[in-house]
Amino acid sequence: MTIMNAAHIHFLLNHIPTVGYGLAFAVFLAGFIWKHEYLTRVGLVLIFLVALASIPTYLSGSAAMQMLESHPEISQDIIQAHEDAVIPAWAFMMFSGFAAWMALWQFRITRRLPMWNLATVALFGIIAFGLMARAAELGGEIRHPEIVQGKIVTDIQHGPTQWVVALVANNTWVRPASEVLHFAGMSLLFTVVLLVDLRMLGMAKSWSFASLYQLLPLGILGFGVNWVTGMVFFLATPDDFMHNSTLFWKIGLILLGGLNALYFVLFDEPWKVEANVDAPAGLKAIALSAIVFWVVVAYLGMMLPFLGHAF
Amino acid sequence: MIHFLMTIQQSAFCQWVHSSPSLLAYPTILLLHVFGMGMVVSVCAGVDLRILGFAPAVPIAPMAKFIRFVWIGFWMNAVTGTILVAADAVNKLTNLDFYIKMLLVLLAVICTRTIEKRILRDPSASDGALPANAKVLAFASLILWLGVMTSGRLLAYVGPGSGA
Repeated sequence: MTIMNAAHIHFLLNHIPTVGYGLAFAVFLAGFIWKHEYLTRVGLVLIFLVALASIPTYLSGSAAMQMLESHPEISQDIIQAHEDAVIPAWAFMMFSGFAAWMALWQFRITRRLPMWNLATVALFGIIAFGLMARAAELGGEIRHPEIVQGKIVTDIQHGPTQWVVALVANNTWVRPASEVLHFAGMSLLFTVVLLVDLRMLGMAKSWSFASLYQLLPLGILGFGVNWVTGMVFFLATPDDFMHNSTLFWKIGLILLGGLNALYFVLFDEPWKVEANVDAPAGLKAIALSAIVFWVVVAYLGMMLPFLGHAF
Repeated sequence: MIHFLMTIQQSAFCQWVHSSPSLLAYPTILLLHVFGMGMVVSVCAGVDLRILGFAPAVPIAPMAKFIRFVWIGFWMNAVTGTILVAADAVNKLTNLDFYIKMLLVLLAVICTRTIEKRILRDPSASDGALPANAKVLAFASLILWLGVMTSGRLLAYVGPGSGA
């Protein structure tokens, strides 16, 4: 991903976590308040999709930020303030995405949406939306100094970005510990990918999809661990990743893997795979694609230091 | 002893692994080692967590079919691991972390082999009530493989030549 491309991508995507999330959350909230189950589920799906799309939005923004470093007319403080405001907003957005997936997962088992889960989505969603609105305002001010009212009051020396940089720089254990957890997260994700998707492809046919369904949250947990630890790597040394096309492809495949994770909690086809039943060809193709996506994600992650603009 | 290790490390093959700019050298061998480890830990974690009581609806016996990935991964890593150690013999073979890892591998393999024979491949155990020590074995296996993974990953960070 060249730096030029990244900036363009950011301008294309930056309305998704803001306007897009507002719409997704509004749909969810309407369903939640009026107790309309279908509308609530649509809202949950949209929240999950926006959370997924926020990953490339953040990463492309980070690259766009670097692109503006050589522009003296642009306030670097506003850019840093924008990123510092984005990080907590994004974290809550991702938490709401995970909670939304869990609610959809549980709906398949109990045929109703669990209240505690919906309340979690609602709480995280309100916080995420509020924080992201502020972050977006600061983002807009980067190129529109005419709308800045007064001085930006943000302590960028003690913002979340600098906090992570200092945490990694001052504690030699943080990076190796994150690497170990990143491996553990990957392994958990692959527990699900191997057991569930290989069953769909015909291994261990005495398993029904219904029985394997309980395993799915392990995969999402592994993904969550890797999002957090992955961010530790990225925030600590963004230059290692920013110009690296390997990361670009890795994130693209993660998005496809995320859609795959949504498929398995949303659609009816997998449930027709009972014990000793062969999965239909379409489902096999989807299962195979999941294995391919995640193996390539692991490959690209592992090869980050060696491929592209290696570090 | 150090001379002997130097001789191994400076062999043409080890020099190629260690210093060649080719992606087929160090990166690919390390990649295979990571994939092997991933296969072992993923499958063992699934088996162990199930025996410990997670996802109780999943029948245990069919997991025997997946154990082959553990042994494929294990042998892949025995080979790639030997190459990786040989290519950095002086540093790795004087690193305490390496010996801790080897001890953990030995114990973890014994544990997984026992789970395979006594639980997964024993119809009376995997279909009916689990043997009394099943959960102890599963917990030990989980901790041991996590230990192997951790001590392996830390080889890049601790001891001589790690930059730490």
